[in-house]
Amino acid sequence: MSDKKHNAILIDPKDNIAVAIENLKKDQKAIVKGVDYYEEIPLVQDIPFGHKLALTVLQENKEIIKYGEVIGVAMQNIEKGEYVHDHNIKGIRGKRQAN
Amino acid sequence: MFLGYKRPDGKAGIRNHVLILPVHRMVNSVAMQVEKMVRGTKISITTGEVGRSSKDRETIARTLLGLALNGNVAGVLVVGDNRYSCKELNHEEMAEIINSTGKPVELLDITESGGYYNAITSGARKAHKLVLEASYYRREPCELKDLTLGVKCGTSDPTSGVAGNPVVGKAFDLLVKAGGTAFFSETTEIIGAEDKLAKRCVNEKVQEKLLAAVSQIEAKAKATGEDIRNINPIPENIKAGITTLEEKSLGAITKSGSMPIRDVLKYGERPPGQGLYFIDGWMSSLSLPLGMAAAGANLFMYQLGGQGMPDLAPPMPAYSAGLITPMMYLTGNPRTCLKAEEFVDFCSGDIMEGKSSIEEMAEKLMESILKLASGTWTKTEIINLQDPVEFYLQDPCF
Repeated sequence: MSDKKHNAILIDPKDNIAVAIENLKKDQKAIVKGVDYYEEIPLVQDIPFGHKLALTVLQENKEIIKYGEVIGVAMQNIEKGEYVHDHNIKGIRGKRQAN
Repeated sequence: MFLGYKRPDGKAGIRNHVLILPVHRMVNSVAMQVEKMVRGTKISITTGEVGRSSKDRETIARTLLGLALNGNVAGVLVVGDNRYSCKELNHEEMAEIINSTGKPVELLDITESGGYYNAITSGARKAHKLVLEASYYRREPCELKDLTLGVKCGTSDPTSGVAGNPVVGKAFDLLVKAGGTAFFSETTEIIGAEDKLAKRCVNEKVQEKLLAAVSQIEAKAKATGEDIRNINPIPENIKAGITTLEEKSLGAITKSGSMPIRDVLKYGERPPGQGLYFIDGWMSSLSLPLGMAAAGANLFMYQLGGQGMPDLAPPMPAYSAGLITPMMYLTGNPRTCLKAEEFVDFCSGDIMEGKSSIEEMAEKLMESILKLASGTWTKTEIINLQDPVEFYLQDPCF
């Protein structure tokens, strides 16, 4: 464990994304803290306050986990430290049926 | 413990209103005149039962009666007319039911009063009497078990699921453990989190009701050709960092705490006893506070995210939408706390900054709730503005 003040949080140990608790800039490191978890991840994009970053490489169609549950799937391959939002993941539920 | 008003039926109130209850839309104007003339009154305008399905008229009736029976109401003036009465909405029956609980009630029948102006005078006299009677009430010590709280989350952002909603959930746990009653709702916003909630239902019957409520709303949306994902999360949610409905739902349900779910209630339905209940309702900032007030909520908690709200002091999503049930605004977002300081009653933003825990904040929240329950006004309650009354009506109208 490091003494560095964290700027992102891991909500549930099963999650594969973290939530920024500050506005994070690219070329900065996300310092992610959770219960028994600490990792520094270099960023390649800005992550605004409250938004998500990938904790591991997420392959296309991989389930995205937050609060320990599935919140959607990856629409493309996502790199570790990459910004995770509606441009690269989508929800599964409530989808319009094809007629 | 808090200081509340003890009603004849054993319910407790945290406010002491006289409710003017026009039962049919056609008598609204008389009731509105009475409300203007007599201090200490609140009016529940019926938006219109005409052309509505029987089920929707039942919803209106259930909601009106629920408001009348809420502990925050000291007395009720029921306004109606035999010519407008229908099977579901009968003013005489409503007055009888209210009377049977021991709550002071007066009935104003327009025709019998001799026309428009005479009806107003007669109604004002009756309301005057009720308000005077209400003023005889004194606040007395009440227990947590006498308190009923409702919650909704709105303008959700990622702080909602991490700092705001979990604090409400912990406070709900404290309340329910002490024998009190708590409501949460917003059926669309448990889609993707229903399995987690189903595990907390007290029995299979309740579990089935919960899952049926979710599948019905999902099927209803699909039947319109609509893709819920284009509606919910709303643009403010997405801007703030919530990407999918499942993500929003999972963050939203943390406001329900961890206690067993005793039953699934219809909109405006009063619970059969104490404990935690899910209300099958719509997320609307106007409709939900009203429905929870009808179910018996003394205080309505509006848990804001707010990251997607405008800069400077943003207007709140609703003002006094619970009519007789005050709205408390709270947030787990430090920015919202700062920007909307004029309206926000409680802030748990320290959690986001790592300065406080959910447990510590929940204790503080309970203290804050008990102050409001004892008579301290909520910040939006002071604003002399009543949002339109909005029922949750689901059927087409003809």
